[in-house]
Amino acid sequence: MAISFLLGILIITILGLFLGFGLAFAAKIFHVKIDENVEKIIELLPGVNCGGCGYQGCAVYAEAIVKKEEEINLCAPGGQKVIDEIGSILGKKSVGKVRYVAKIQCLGDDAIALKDYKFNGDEDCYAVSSFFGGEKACKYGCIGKGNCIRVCPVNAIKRDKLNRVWIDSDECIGCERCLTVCPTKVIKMFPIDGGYFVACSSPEMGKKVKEVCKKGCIGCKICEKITGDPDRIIVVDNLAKINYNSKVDLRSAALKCPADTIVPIKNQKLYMKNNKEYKIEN
Amino acid sequence: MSELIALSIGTIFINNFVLSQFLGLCPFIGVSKKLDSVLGMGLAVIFVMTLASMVTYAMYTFLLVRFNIEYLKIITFILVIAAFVQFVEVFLKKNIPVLYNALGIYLPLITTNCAVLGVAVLNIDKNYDFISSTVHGFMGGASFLLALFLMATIREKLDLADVPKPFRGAPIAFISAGLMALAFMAADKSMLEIFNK
Repeated sequence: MAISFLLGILIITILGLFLGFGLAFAAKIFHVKIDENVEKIIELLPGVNCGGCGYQGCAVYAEAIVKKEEEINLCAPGGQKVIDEIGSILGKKSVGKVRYVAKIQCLGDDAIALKDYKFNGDEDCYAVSSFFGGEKACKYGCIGKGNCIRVCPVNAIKRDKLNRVWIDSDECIGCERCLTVCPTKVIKMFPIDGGYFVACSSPEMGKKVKEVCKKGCIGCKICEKITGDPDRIIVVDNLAKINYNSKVDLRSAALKCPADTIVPIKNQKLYMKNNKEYKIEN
Repeated sequence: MSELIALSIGTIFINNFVLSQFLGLCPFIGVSKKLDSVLGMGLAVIFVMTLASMVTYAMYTFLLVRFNIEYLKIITFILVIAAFVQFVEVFLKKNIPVLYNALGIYLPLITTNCAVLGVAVLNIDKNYDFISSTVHGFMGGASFLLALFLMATIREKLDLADVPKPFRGAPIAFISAGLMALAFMAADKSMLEIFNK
């Protein structure tokens, strides 16, 4: 009994020593050098792992920069600062791409958008949209159950008191995750310096839009006439479309828009607060 | 051959490692958040479980039985599996970088996975021979992959659902896992009835 006991201790000890030295030896033989630059770049990148650059995460992108000579300006959350810092390590220079932010092309909330029925089920946009295309009488707009709010990694998507969902461009990192969970595809990407965007997606005739929503584009072409530049803003299918290659100022058109659907991209926060109609109804 | 097929089907559906034997629950909850990572993790588990069954079987018959110290099997298996996974990791990193990129980050997670230790101990308890042990290990990994895949699809939907606050995250995942385990138990009974007729 005592011998078997001692034998057990001996064998386990020998086994442990053998495996330990074996592993140490294997680590020496199979040693792989890790590039110092990769680790430095991983430190610099924001680490949100949003996938906006097209790689699975920040670490994979850092490796691609060093080994595959990938462009260094693909990180949207990091911005120009991170690009400069990476550039100083690798001796490269690059200018950041135009930052794109997501915007919801719909302003219909509980007060101004007519509803067909009241949905009492799950808080899930897909569930609601499977019943007659959503609660709202307008079937092109935001469903308003907040799938995008729940997937946003940085909580940039807000909901106000009347269930209007909107995206704060200061906080949006442009990862495009919200685009994939929206059943009506009412969220689109806009360049941050593009000025204004049209916050309506309904291609219906003006009369029909007015019947169901107070803040819908009715295709009146006032914006087109005021701007006087068909390359900048043009009405197609009863819906104003803005061309972001042109830089003509749209402020006057935004002020004259009868339905108030031309909304600034950068300061939507202020637009939401200063809206007079809003104040009265709150 | 028919025994091996029966063993395979039994391991995947009736004695599912996660949902019937409750082994490997930590990676099951931890890695099932996203569908993207499921395939990598599942393949890594299949890989490690198959090789671990082979290695521990050899270790048991040629070392422990020989010196009459079978009672030390669990501690020996832990030692051997941990060392073995570490070795496989450094080996893959140097020689097969493609496979390392696919499995790499999951391999250290599996080192101490109870499903891997479980398959080694079960092989001995059920007196499987070398080939049966290997098949059991491989199918055990496959059953883990199946459970992980089902769970990940459910959890991606759960992310969008309006779950009460105290249940968000792991609690609701455990509740769904419990319901899935019940479903697998039903498969077990009905299958037995068919075989008895």
